[in-house]
Amino acid sequence: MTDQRLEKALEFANYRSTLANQKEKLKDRCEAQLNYAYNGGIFHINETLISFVDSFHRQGKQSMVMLDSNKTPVDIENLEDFYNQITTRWFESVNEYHRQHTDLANKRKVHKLVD
Amino acid sequence: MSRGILFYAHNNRHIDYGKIALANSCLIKKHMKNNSVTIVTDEGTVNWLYKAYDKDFVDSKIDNIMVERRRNTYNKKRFYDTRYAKQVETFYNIDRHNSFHYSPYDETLILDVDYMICNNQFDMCWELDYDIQINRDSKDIFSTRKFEEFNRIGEQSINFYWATAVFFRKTKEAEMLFDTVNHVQQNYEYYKLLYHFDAPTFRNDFAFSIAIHLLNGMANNNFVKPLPVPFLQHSHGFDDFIDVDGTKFKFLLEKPNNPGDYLVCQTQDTNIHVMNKFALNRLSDKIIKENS
Repeated sequence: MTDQRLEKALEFANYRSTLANQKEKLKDRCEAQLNYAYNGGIFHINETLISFVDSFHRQGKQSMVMLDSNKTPVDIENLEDFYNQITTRWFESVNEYHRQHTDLANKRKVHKLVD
Repeated sequence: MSRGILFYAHNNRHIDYGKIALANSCLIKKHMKNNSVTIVTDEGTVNWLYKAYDKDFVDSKIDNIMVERRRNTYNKKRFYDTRYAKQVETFYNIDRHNSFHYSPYDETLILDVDYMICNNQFDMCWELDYDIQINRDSKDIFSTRKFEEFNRIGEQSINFYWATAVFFRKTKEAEMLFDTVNHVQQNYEYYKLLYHFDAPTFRNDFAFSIAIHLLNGMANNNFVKPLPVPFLQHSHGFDDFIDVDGTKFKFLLEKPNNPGDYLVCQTQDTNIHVMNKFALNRLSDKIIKENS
């Protein structure tokens, strides 16, 4: 391999490492935003939580007790309100994550990744 | 119920903790709803702060300044400014066990001054029914870099807890926790032997980890609950903190397998524990300017 080609390969490796780390930062930020406090408990919003709440909400349940992230029982007095809040937060966070992720993927230079 | 944030800031010869506390207070005022800030400090630090900044400005960002006598200590700590520069300096911020009595709030979040607050996630602390919240989990800002020292306090020892951010309500249990931290601090040499770790410097993290273990009945139990953030994000003393643009922080991170080679990284709206205090000192004025 010529010096020039090696230099290019190393430059690309540096770009890939920076990109991977920046993507991880976006994921961390999204993860953090998906933590949600409700009625004294803390919930991590994910697909499972949304589906679980939705299934009881569809059955017409108006309130229920749920286990939060620390396995502490929390009384969800208004299931519809809870469902609306977690889905709103989910869409806000994940859509923002998607927007920034796409934005990042289109940048081809290290200095642009951190602009 | 009064709510607020408690900082400890005692300058040493090289690090202006007062300035860092002011910078972080600007960030807190900008991002958090529960943003009353109390700083526990000493006469030298507060005089230096008032000399460098307008008194009205400082008072608009820091609600209470509690001046206590700075204890003389031989507690030395190595402070890195990347791999290429280090200073051994006195670490005076060892009065955290007094928080229960010092705090003017019913519900207090104690933060390290160098844990820069760039979002409002900690506002959730006050909404939870958990009276003591402290984190075990942390994550390096360089995603592939891992430090075992932040998992356990010694290789064969107990779980590590971060005293960087501790939330408590003024309950009997919280008082007991701070009393136990004080007890561990007073008998640190004994606990170093008992818990199999070798750290020449007193560390608040270790004292809290041991106190939690003791109060858990010498087991991994759930006396404390985690803060409402999934982990504390931190950089390393070998990293450089190079620029600030609002809540966008730019770092040069040392590559784990290639010392002296760096990867550029930018965080946005992310709380971050900056370990390179010298770099933080250099950029504190810019943080203040951009966030006040």
